[in-house]
Amino acid sequence: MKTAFKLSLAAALAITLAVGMVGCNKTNKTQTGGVTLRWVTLGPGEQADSDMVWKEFNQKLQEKMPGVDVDLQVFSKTDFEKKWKLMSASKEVIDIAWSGWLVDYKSEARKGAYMELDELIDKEAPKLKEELNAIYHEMNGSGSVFDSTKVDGKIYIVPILQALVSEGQGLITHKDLSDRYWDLERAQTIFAKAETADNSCYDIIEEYLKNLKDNDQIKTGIDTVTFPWFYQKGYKVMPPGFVIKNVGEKDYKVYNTFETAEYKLYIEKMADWYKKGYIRSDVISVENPRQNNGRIDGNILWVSPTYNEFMSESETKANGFPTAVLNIWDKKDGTSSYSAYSGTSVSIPKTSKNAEKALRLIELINTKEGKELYNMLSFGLEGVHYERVNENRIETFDDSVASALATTNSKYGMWNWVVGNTFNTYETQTNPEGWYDYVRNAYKDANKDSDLIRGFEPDLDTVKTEIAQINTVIGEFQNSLLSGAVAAYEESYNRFIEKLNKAGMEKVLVEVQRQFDGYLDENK
Amino acid sequence: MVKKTKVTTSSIAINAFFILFSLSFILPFLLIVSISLSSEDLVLKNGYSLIPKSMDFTAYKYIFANLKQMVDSYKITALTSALGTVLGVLVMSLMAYPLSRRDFLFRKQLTFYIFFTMLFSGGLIPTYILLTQHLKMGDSMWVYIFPSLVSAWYIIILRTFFQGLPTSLVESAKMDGASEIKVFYKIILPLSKPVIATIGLFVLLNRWNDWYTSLIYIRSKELYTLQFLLQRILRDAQFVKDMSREVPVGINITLINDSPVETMKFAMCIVAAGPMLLVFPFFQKYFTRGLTVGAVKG
Repeated sequence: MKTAFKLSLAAALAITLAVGMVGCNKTNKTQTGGVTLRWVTLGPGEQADSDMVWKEFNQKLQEKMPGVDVDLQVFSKTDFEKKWKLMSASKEVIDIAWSGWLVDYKSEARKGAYMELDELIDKEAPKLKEELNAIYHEMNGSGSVFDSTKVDGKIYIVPILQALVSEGQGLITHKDLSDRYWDLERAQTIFAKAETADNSCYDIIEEYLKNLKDNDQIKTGIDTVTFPWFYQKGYKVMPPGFVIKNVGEKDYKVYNTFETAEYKLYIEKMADWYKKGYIRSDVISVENPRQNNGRIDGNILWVSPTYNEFMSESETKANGFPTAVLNIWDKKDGTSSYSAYSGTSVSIPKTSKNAEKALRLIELINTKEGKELYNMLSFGLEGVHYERVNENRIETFDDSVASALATTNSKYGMWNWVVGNTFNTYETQTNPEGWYDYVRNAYKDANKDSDLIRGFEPDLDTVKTEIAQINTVIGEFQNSLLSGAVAAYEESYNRFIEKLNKAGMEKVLVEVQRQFDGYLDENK
Repeated sequence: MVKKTKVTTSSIAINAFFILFSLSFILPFLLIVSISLSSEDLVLKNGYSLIPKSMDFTAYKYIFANLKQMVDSYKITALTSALGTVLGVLVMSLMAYPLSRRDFLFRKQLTFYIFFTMLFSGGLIPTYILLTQHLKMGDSMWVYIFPSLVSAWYIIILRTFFQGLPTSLVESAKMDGASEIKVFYKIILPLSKPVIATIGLFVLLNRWNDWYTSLIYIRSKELYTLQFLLQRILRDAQFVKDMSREVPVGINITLINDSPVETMKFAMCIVAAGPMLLVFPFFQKYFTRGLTVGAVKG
């Protein structure tokens, strides 16, 4: 007994020591003895071949930046927010940090987490500004891509360029069904003609739903999670609940979303459709109804937040059955609540000791000069992870990598829209030929006035308490109202509005209006 | 040969009650096994069913897609759990024993010192800075073992149990010439098996289920714990799935519908809880006695 105990204790200590030694080997990765830049970014995490690709990347980098090594740390969506908060609070040395939509870059910048880049860019990376703005001008005509990302008049982030416009939202359905039971062309004409979601739109949809119901093809009905985007047609939407009219006669007034005629009409229609059986009866208790989108026996009508001409093809390919997509908006008024300029970006944290080198690396990755390096980070190595079709087109061995959404289980692949300027990406098998040119040109046709409104982002810091209360009220009513599954929807709606006003909606509206007026004066 | 037992209404009722009672534990478990073996499509279409319509291992395939990572994580979890439990129980009982002795000089002060930590803690960010920048434990396996080695609450439970042992035992052993250390190992510990086993099991379960430490401190994928890995696989799959429907403008993404998010959740239960189901019976014989631990007033 005694010896056994001593033995086990000794064994425990021995293991502890042995394991401790293993832990020690991991530090000090520098290969060249020069500077190591620490780059923290979002992505699918470290994958099986990550070390191999990054080693190769560092070797290639020596040609452009001798003596510089990059230590990439890729955190997944699960841990990025938390880890960034801790690293930023504890002032860890980081040279490049991703600062896209998971991080509130404005408040981080105000807190002093990022370095001011105005002078640094002019001095160290003029080509970065030049090239990004050239692309931006080509699409937009004027202005600077950095302008709309400024915080208190200073540049803190380098936006990662991607398409700056959406042509609208897509209404998606099964093609077999719509061929038989619907007139797609008539529907598209009606959608294009209607400025906002009015009765004519719902009538044509209801015609379809009724046909499906009569022929027992309704399946799990319409998707109540994404379909609500339909009533936002013609408006710029700002969370948690304001809209600005973005089509036709603009009045440049900020409204409470929930008091617009379109919202009222929408919940009225949903309540009606729920009774008629176009929405599944157990909709309230289904955990994630959205999962039934794109399934042959799932939802028969759902909405995608973005639309493009190639969507029928790509949806068909993805869903595995013929899929039809209609544009809810008129092409010229295309819009999106998504903030195109700051959705994904990189910054240089204040803790960086090699800011010049970090900026130079950002320049390299985001311009033509470093196209090869950029694509290596995104797609891995030729022959190992992809095959080259021609100079600008590749075929990856893993489909999820090709579609810019590599997973932890992929051999290697990062999301090109967190790495750098997506206009330098190779086309893959999931892109139609000439995809990135198409994206650039799409913007030219877009309504620039509509773009003006889209560029506005309110700063809600001063009305934080009201916003929190408003969000609570919305959480209480919104889902049941939108799903149509409330018996007395009118009563519920009235209480919703009443509670919203009590929560301080009025005050927030005034504040947002004030900011919007200021924005208009500045940008008109 | 067979001993006859009388069948009475009360015995039927009692048996029926316990059969139903047992079923309420067994059925959910069988359901988990069954769902984890079903195909995602059928689950989404028909809901959960106790007997799978067809055997489908997609969920497991997805989880085990990166076998090396899974093995690494199992190793880390098993190693840190075992080591952390052995060391933790040892240190805590060594702390609790003196506190249980009435002849220990600073007993009250030390007990308060320990109790105090239950009321206040350093907060996440200071703890993070201390561990990563001053103690250099970030991204190493020590961070699983040392920061959570000792729990004030368990020390108090242990102390209470030790106090219940008759002091005369210690005195007589001393009279026979045993040293303090010998008294502890030869008399106290063997008598305290129930409480040691109980605390051991608590600590083991805590460590086995630990994912938060990985989330905060760990960067190398070799050091992920099992629970963290599983959670990440699931959340990332869900993320990619949602993302493919809500991508930023201009990024053309083909939807990837093959990750079986629903059934995967259940397969993960099995993968994560399996080993614990094997360990549990070893503790069980101490467990009933251990349940009264802490019931005696200290």
